[in-house]
Amino acid sequence: MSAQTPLHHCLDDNINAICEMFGHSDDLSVRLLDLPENPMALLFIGSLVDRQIVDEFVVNPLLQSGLGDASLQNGLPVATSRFKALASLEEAAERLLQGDTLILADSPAKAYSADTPGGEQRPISEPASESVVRGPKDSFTETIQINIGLIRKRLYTTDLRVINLNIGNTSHTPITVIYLQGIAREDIVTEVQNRLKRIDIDGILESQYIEEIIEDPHGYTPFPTIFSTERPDRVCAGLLEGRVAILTGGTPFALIVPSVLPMFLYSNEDYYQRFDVATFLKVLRTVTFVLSFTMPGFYVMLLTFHQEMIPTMLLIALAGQREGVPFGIAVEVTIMELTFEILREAGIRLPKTIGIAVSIVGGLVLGQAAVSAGLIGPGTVITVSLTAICSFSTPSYGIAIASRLIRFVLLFLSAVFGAFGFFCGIIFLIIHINKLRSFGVPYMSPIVPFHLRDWKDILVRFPWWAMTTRPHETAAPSARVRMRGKNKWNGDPEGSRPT
Amino acid sequence: MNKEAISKTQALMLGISGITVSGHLLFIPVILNLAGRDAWISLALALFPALYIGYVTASLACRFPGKTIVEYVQTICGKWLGRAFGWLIIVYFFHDLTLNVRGFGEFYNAAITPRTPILVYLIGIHILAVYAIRSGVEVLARTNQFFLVILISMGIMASLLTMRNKDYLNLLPIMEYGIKPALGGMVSLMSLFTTIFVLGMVFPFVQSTRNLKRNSLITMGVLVLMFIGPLTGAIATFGLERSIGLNFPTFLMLRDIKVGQLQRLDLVAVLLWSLGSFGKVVLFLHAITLGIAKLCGMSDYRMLVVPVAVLVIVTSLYNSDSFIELYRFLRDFYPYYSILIGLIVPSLLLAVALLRKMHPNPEGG
Repeated sequence: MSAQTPLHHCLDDNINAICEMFGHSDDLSVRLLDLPENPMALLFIGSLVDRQIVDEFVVNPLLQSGLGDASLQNGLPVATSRFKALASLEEAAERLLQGDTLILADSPAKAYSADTPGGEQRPISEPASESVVRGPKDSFTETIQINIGLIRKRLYTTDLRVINLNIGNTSHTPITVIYLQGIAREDIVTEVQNRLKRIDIDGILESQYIEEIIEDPHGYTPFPTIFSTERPDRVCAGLLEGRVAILTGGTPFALIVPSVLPMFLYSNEDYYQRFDVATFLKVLRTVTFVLSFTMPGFYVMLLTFHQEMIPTMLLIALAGQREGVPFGIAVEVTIMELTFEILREAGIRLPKTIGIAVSIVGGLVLGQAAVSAGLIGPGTVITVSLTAICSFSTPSYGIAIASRLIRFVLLFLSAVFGAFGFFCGIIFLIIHINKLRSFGVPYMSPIVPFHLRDWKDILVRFPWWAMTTRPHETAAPSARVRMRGKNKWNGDPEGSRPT
Repeated sequence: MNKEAISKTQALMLGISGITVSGHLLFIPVILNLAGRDAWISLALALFPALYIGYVTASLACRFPGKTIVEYVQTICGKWLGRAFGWLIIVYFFHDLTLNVRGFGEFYNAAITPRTPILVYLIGIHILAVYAIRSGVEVLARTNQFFLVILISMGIMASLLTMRNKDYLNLLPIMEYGIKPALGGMVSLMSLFTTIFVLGMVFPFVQSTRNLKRNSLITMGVLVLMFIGPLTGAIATFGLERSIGLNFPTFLMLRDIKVGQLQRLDLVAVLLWSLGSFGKVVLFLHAITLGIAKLCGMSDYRMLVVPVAVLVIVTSLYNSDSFIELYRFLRDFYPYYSILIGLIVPSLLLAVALLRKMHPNPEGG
């Protein structure tokens, strides 16, 4: 921090100095209390404090006490929970910016800060991006204190460690690192803090800033290697697996590290439903994720190079549909894919009411018209729309975007080189994913390197009483056991069956 | 040297995919040609040499932990002789890779995409291999592990689905022409299995060499098992006379798969051999570049990958005129040459190491 300026000896000088620091900003309120023996001044930033608290717990007690010299020695009669004497003007300014009220006293000149947090906050609402049918309905807000509370209210343990950092040379954004002592790997916790402390940036407005700065160095990748979520239960589940959460002030999206590929394919609702249903949905979602980037390429490859594989009747039907279509199949699919991407982009940015109109025009009119005008074969429309639905069923937005990019690459490869190009693309993709690491943990982690125990949570979900271990790569070696696995109710509380 | 570690399973899995796939595509016709109906007897006979070479490779690795072939050759034979042997072994790997790559390329060219130049295939597969090797041994091993599981399950499924075409009575009579044809097939199979010696360039990265010998023996057993299907299958499907004349009997077997309305699953073949040839190229290219780097005293082998890959492509295009020539070479010359370098040289190395009483972790090294 910069050099500390001590307080001046006179009240007016102090007020002036602080006002000077803020450049006489109009939202810095100065309230002079003309107490008979001891003139005082209250300073606060109107938009950051709660006026009611200031009036009720700071101004009122001060005025009523009448305050003489003696009471100043015993401390001010201020009724807020955090109250602190300040030594320098810089410290005073910092407290002001955190939403505190400064109390400046004269003869001797002193400064105190009382916490009067306020300002507008969004109430806790349902998560917009990850909705569930069954499960907690709250989500993070933009206020970091509320977010920490949401986590604390789920994990009532002293092992929960909360580390506050301020990052951003101008914004001083509060960043909080949260982990469970004894479950998280120490080396990962230190690594997270080291990487965060190295950040040198003017401001952080969203956790994506942090994500891009601290992710592992692996060259270019479209895949997110840090998981972001706005659901506190998801963060807590991560913490219980030994992961580390990073909360960022000003955004409801928390980061979870280290994160692996399967995390992005599963919804937290998989853990709130019956395990057999959840297993089915997990398999389904994995398949749709793969389809969401392979399908257009596969379709083009089949129709361009490997017609012999298509059953004869289907081939005749497809060929019949495409009679009179002027474009090659690859061009056709590319046009439709691009159209779909444009539609999606247009739909997101528009107000909801117009968005519906866009989807009607785009989906119905364009698709239907293109087919009936003979520009596009119906098979292509089916393929493209199925791909779109598959990509919507991916629970994580970050990885769905990645699959959008990969889709076009695979499309190109299979249009030019056929099956060989397509499979080369897939092989390249697998090498690439294998290359990725998230805080040292391989991205494909329980799949390769192979950890059999973690497969209870890959593709299938075992019932909760069987989930006896924590992930091999993320949990500390001493904390691999989640539970003893004897808590399955066997109908007999005493442990011995009556004969 | 950066600390990269792979597990024993991963290393051995590299060996399996490095050998099986090229064997299935290129060696099956050779063996069928030599041994005819008795190919399965050749396989049974080849089990023991296979176990032997697996044992030799593993025990050399156990004896010199953390050292590649070209390094311990120099320890065993002294600096100059060792270097000569090192280069010989690298050239052997190189030559083997160029033969196989050409074979794969010819397969694609003949069977899948006849109008695409072979160079497209060669460059494609080498780009993948270069990318994998430059990403490090760990990535390479993990990728191969992932693929091999797919490969094996698909292979088993394919052999089950081709079952309906097979008539195992075609394998009779046994030993119609005596043991000689079977012996010829055995030699050819041995020459294929001896390339497992290339694992000596991967074993130094293995975390611990405990139980390596046992696991290596199991691996060789698995390898032999994996050849039962195609060796008996081709004869059982096509009969002796037809299967001998086929260039790619295993591929033709796959082609005959019919599941409901689905037929002509060429795609499965492309998938199998893309994954498999990737495994082969990646393993050998890694071995070659690492070997050259060690012999020349370079600290980073990764910068060599691209030039060596280009060299492999060019050489593979020039070392035979056509698939028939390649095939004849594999049948008539390759067995003796491969057994000499892949089996006899390692045996000699192990013998010398035993005689000179070179134990694990010698002082200094």
